[in-house]
Amino acid sequence: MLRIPCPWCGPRDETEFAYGSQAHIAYPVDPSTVDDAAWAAYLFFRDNPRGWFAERWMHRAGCQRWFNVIRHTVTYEIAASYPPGAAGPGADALSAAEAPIGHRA
Amino acid sequence: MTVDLRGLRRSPLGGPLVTGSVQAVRLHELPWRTLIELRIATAPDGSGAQTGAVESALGLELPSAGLASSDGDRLAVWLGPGWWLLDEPESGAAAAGGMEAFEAPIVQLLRAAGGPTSAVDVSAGFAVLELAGPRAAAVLAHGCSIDLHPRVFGPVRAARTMVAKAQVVLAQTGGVVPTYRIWVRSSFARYLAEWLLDAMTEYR
Ligand SMILES: [Zn+2]
Repeated sequence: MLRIPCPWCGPRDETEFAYGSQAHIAYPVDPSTVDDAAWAAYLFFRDNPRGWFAERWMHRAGCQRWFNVIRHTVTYEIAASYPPGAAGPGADALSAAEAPIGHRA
Repeated sequence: MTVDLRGLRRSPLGGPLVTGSVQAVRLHELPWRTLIELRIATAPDGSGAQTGAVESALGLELPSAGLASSDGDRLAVWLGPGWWLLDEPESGAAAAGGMEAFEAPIVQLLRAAGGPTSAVDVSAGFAVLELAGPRAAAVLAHGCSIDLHPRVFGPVRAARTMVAKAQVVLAQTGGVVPTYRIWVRSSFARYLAEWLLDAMTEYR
């Protein structure tokens, strides 16, 4: 069971949340001009890293808000959570962030 | 002609029926509360709700995250950014006066707010329970994963969370004796009341 820190409600059990896949996937600026391959890539293709991953969660049983979480896919450690629209820790900070001891990716 | 239907209605738990209680903790229903869900527009990050005008129309402070505010028997509970539950005693005039009298306070709220705001009467959708007594937190903790220790979840604390896998709004309203008010969907009310009564048996 994960303890996920909601930016508004604080730490709650994973069972209170819905998972929303990878974060920071931008909607195509003009969808009508996007070809099938690009549209399929936007809809279906997601990163699957071994390490830090920015993903979306929704606090279904609480404030019902979507937000972003930086989670380590090997250790399940959560490095940050922040509201949509806010800048998360950048890629540099993430790659520099140390994975917990014994589980280095 | 206005027909008074109050004699025909039933609260989700049948009113004061659920008083099956032990000394250390008591459970009862608060029937016929007027419940309104209020939403005021925010920025995507949850900030910037303009609450001033609504607060003065209400005569009640809209609390910030994790809190409830009260004025006598009226309560406002924070549910999420820009989202509150108002809990008031049923007004005799509204109960007897039909839809118009019932909607008047809501219309007044929306006029005061001016901007994008919604106020929805949800009185019929929820049962209101009160769990009180020295062991009330212990009973809740059997089925609730948030930290209910008085240092963390003392009076005026509130949370929208799960109790016994049922979606609830929970607020600590008590002073001397710890008192928790629980708002639960009417369809889950019987289940939750029975679950709480069962959890209470070990504190006899
Ligand atoms: Zn939340």
